[in-house]
Amino acid sequence: MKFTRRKFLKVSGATAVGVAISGSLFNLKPARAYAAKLKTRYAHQSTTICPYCGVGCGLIVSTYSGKVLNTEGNPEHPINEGALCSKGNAIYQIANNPNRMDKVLYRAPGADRWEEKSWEWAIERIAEKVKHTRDENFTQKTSDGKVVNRVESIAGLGGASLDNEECYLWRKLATALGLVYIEHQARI
Amino acid sequence: MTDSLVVDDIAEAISILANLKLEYIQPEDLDRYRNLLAVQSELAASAAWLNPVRLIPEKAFRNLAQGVPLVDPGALDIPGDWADDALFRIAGVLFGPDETDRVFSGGGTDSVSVLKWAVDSRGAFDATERIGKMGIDTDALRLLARETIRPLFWKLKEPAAGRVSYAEWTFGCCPVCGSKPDFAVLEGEEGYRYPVCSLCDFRWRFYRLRCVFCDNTDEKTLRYILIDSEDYYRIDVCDFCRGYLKTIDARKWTLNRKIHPRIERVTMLHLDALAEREGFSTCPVVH
Repeated sequence: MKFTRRKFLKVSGATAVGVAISGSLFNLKPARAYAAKLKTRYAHQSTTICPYCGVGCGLIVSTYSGKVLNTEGNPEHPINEGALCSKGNAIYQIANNPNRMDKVLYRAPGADRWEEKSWEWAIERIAEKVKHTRDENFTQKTSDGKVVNRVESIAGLGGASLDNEECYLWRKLATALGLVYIEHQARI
Repeated sequence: MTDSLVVDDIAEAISILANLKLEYIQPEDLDRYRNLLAVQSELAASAAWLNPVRLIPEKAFRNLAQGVPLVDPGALDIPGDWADDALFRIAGVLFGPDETDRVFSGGGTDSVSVLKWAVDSRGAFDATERIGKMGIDTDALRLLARETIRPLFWKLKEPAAGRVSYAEWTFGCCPVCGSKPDFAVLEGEEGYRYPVCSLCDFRWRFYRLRCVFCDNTDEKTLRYILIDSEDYYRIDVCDFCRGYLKTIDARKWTLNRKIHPRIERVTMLHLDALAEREGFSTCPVVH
């Protein structure tokens, strides 16, 4: 290729100073000095499923040192493709909201205040009440003599955050107790 | 999905760059970059001989699912005198007139082959002899050649707009030219991830939790670096191949302008420095 004075003039009209020939457009030295002052953190990402209903939308959760930094829909999840309903969008608050209760509060019958209780106390109390209600209301036979062995004063609503295996166990327990009003919240 | 925040206007980018003051970029580097864009814009306008529709026939779109980029560099019919002039002009901007004189004084530069070599991801072209004649190293020649051919690919990507589906092209390299991305944008309420091609600025949708370089999907080894003072920037990193990809989270974009790929390459330079410091690179070794 032949170059001419005209080409030089054309080229030098564009810029007077080039760089020493290198493979880089920019001198990174100032950027390195600037980057050294930046405050940074590493975030991890994991995928999970929204616990609120049976649709099972996919989420990406970002964490730093075990703390939730961000939650968002997972664009690659075939069910929601990144979209989230208002509840799913607020999932961040399961981990981060000062108003969220993290203790058992109990108000005794007729009382006008809440008392803080332990989880162990609460589970025992629930078991006592279930047994008491079942024992008081168990129907062995109907009025026309048919054996039914059922309890009609307790209903079960399952739970949206229960997975299939947990739902199976809950259904088994409910049937074993004699419940007949067995439904699932996600169907309602 | 909301209107894209990402725009493709070179003139606007040049205008914005003129008023940009960044602590981490030397003013002369910024001036040179603006001049480069201006020359590239002129070269794009002067390439009236380029026929993108002919160069990307319908059958090329059917090959996408097999991972074949749309443009075949071997099919590029670049006029020799256009290539000569373009290479010389871009060299003048990048290296200055004296160095340009020296680089081209050896003569015998097959400009068209040099340009094709720079975008050849299939290994069909060899530029070793030309590198020797021009007296510059491979990296510098690749920079020169890619900046020269870039304006052609700005035009070549046009037939591909809106025609590359997420289901067909599942690869981390550009479906138009096969180049790697140099940054990505997270956009829309769904947070879709769009890598941006380092050569032609084409954007395509890619998985959020997958490395664009090595296809790693292990969540434990895919992290990102957050910058506290700039929450719209992050650097996606892969602990498996040690690659990194600068990312703009457009959902958190607060700057009073749209996102211009040609501007963001400059404004994110400190992220390159940060990634380099942390031991990541854009040319990762793939195990």
